[in-house]
Amino acid sequence: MVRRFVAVVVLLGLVAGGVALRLGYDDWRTDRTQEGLQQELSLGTAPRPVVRKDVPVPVASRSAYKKPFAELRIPRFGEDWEWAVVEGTDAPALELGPGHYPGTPMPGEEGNAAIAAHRAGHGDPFIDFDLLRRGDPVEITQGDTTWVYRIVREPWMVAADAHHVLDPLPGRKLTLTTCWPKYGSSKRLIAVAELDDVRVDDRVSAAPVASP
Amino acid sequence: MYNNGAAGGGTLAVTGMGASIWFDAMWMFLAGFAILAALMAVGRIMPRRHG
Repeated sequence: MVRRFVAVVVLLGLVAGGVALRLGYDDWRTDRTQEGLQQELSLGTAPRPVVRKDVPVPVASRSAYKKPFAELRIPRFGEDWEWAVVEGTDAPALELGPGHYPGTPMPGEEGNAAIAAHRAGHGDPFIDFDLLRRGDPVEITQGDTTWVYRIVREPWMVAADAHHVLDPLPGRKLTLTTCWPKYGSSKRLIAVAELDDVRVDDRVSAAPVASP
Repeated sequence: MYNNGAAGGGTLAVTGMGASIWFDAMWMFLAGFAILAALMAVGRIMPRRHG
């Protein structure tokens, strides 16, 4: 009887240890990947914003699938919270970091740009998603340009197939999506932000472009 | 309507660990069971060989 109990305890320990190792490895791999993606964004080959005379706001350039195009900062999640955003929202893309929904507008563009990120796992980028409050800034930087969005609709829950949240919206909006509950994926949490300001850093514009 | 390129455009991006963690737990349970069974088998055989 005692041996059976010990066997069950050892077995559960092996499973828990294995899962913990797997999660730790996923986080470590995402951290390493993010370092590489952020370096990639500092190279001369990184996408640069498009400025058009007939459009009042610069628009971020798109990158290839799984390639980074901008840095995302949400101070509510921490002063040093900063992630490179890649193009794509399928599993391989989101393993790298937050992903931009293909087919939705880019930051700065009119309509509803949309970004998804893991709530838990792969570095937990959106673990504190439910803490977002109206007025919180969401900053997206590409090259010398930073688009400052502000939350206009606090997180709310929808069904996993509530695809309508990606539909076009008036103005320049940004929709953020993640999973609910924290360690599951049966539903989604959504928050909407609106473009509030665009900052252009002249120091970055004037700096010589690093060679790749 | 936009197509998000994931899951045929029918669902929003899957950003939880839900499905994968249960899959991991299942195969780790099977692996753990196999390791434990092997250790217990060795534990039973070895004393006989030395005895």
